[in-house]
Amino acid sequence: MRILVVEDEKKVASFIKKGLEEEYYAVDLAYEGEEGLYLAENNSYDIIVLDVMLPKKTGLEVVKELRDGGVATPVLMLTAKDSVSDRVNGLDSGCDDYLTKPFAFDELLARIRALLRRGTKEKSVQLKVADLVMDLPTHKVTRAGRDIELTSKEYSLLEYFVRNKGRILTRTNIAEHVWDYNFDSFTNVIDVYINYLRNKVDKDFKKKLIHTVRGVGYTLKD
Amino acid sequence: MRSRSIRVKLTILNFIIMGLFLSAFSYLLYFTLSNTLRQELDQKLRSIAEAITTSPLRLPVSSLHKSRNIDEMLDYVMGMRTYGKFIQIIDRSGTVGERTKNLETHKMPVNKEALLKASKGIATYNTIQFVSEKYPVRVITYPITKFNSLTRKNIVTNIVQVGSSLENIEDTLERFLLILLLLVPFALLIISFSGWFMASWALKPVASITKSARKITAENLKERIKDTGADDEIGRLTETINDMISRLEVSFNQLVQFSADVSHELRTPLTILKGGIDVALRQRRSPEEYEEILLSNIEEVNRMQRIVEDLLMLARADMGESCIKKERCDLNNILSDLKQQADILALEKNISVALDVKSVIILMADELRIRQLFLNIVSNAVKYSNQDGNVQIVAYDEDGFAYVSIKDDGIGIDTEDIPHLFNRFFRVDKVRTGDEGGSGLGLSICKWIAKEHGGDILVKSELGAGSTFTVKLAC
Repeated sequence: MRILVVEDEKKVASFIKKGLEEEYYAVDLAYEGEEGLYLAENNSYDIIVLDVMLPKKTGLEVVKELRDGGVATPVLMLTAKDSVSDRVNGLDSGCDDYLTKPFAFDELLARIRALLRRGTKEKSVQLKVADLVMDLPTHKVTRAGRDIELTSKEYSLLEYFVRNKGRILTRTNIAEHVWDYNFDSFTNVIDVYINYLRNKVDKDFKKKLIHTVRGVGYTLKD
Repeated sequence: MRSRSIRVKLTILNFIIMGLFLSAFSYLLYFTLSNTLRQELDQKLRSIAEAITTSPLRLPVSSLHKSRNIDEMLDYVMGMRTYGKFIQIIDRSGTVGERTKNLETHKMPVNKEALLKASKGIATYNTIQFVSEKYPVRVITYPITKFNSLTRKNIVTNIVQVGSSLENIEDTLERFLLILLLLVPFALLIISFSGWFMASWALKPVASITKSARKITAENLKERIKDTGADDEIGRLTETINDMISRLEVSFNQLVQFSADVSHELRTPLTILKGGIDVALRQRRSPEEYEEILLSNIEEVNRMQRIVEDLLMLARADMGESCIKKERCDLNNILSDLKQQADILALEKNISVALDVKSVIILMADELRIRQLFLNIVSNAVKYSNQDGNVQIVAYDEDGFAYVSIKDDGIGIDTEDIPHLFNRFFRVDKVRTGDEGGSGLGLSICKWIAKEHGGDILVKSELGAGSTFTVKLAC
């Protein structure tokens, strides 16, 4: 899952990026409002973590412009102000949730997971397809009760597939949601990773989950 | 009794003062009237007595015929003036000769002393009580004299006594007293009531001011007491209170803003510390990584320490607890040290720093603070300069002031921002530049230091063209 973090305090931005990447998210950073808005409008993020006090454009302005432009990506607002009116303003501008600085990193992760659950039927912290189970907080993946060891990229890829089960995913889709801004689209990295994933998830099992859709991309189904 | 109401106090005071005044006034009135009435009576008695001494009645007692009617004679001589008067003629031994008819049944006693005096030719007044009469009688004992041509002296032949009942006077005075005793309390009552109402009327706006002032608390300092618009004491009171609330509102808002700013400024390093440590603890890391995290942490701790120290200093300054110790110091020295520091700061962006001191300047100043002031402004100049920029430091003295201007050709400051530049926690752009975030209090402290040295800091700036900070210090 790919997350945009817009935060002007560089050290805050950097620990959020580091922490999220260690949780297998792909993270892009922006240090001011205009850049954040540009990235959000031109990429498809799964979550935007947005600071309120930003140079050039405040977080609230960014959210409003995003919503006016029809971008519905869930936005988690970070704020150092915690008065009721600040929170109300934030939520009313189109933010989906807020977190007051300083915050516990676990809470940030939990709120991100909660935002990812929104709009899906899945209400648990586990994602399931057939006998494959992904436990999101612990990143434990099992199939038919057997543990599957995945690298972070493989995990991200699988999570994206599972969250979009049944949907045909193009390489562009995959690049946009699993890799960050530095992804080089002229390589066959995606196919390589799909291959790794198939070896770990499908190889030893009779029932295959990941299927190739010729000329289009891949899909995961029961 | 401690009354809680001015209205009650005023009424009581009014009652006491008016009561005393009316009592004194009544007493004076009564006293004057009584005196006048008595003097008038005495005068009347004397004039009758005098008239008698010139009438046939002045003849010696023995020569008078008892058969002759004194009443008729008096009537004949003096007319109605003597009606109701008691008159008798006595000789020097006190033997009564003629007397008016009204004395036939009630004898008028003869006062020995008066008799003695009259024998010597002196008239006296007495007030005597007839045994049978309710009211006393006022009597004049008046000598009747005859001029003796041998001795060439007046000799007392007879004595006339004229008396008059005090009934009229006493009755009049009694009635007058009665009227006073009834009228004074009544007047006092009316005065007290009107005083009470007047006090109520005058204090009514005070009650309404109290009521509205009570409604104003820290939460609704926007409210004001309704102004009557009148240019009277109450109007001025309202105005004064409203002015005071305005000032309270301003300083309260500043306080709220300041607390919010402080908490915001402290929150950023706290967020970095907490988040950084949280993330670091999520897994085992290499010593190098831990070291990096700890270094970042100490930077934030230092930042917080700076903020807290600066706040403490400003708080002390606000309380008037000046920690400035002035001594003679050489500005040229300070500035050449400053240039060296600036050169080091400027190295990274290849900024050239020029120092031009026009004369030898000696200051009475706190050297440490002055160094702090200049370093702060110079590091700002470097911070907001572009790559390969120029920073010029020029010092000169004029009219008992030392001027040090620090000019850069960096990004400059928006004209709108210049008035707020020295406000606590004001930041031109909300971007915290670089890792070395300031406390946001630097310029506030600089301004304070300059003011403590009888000077100021003046700013000229143009967006994109650079800024000039001129520090003015009293020599």
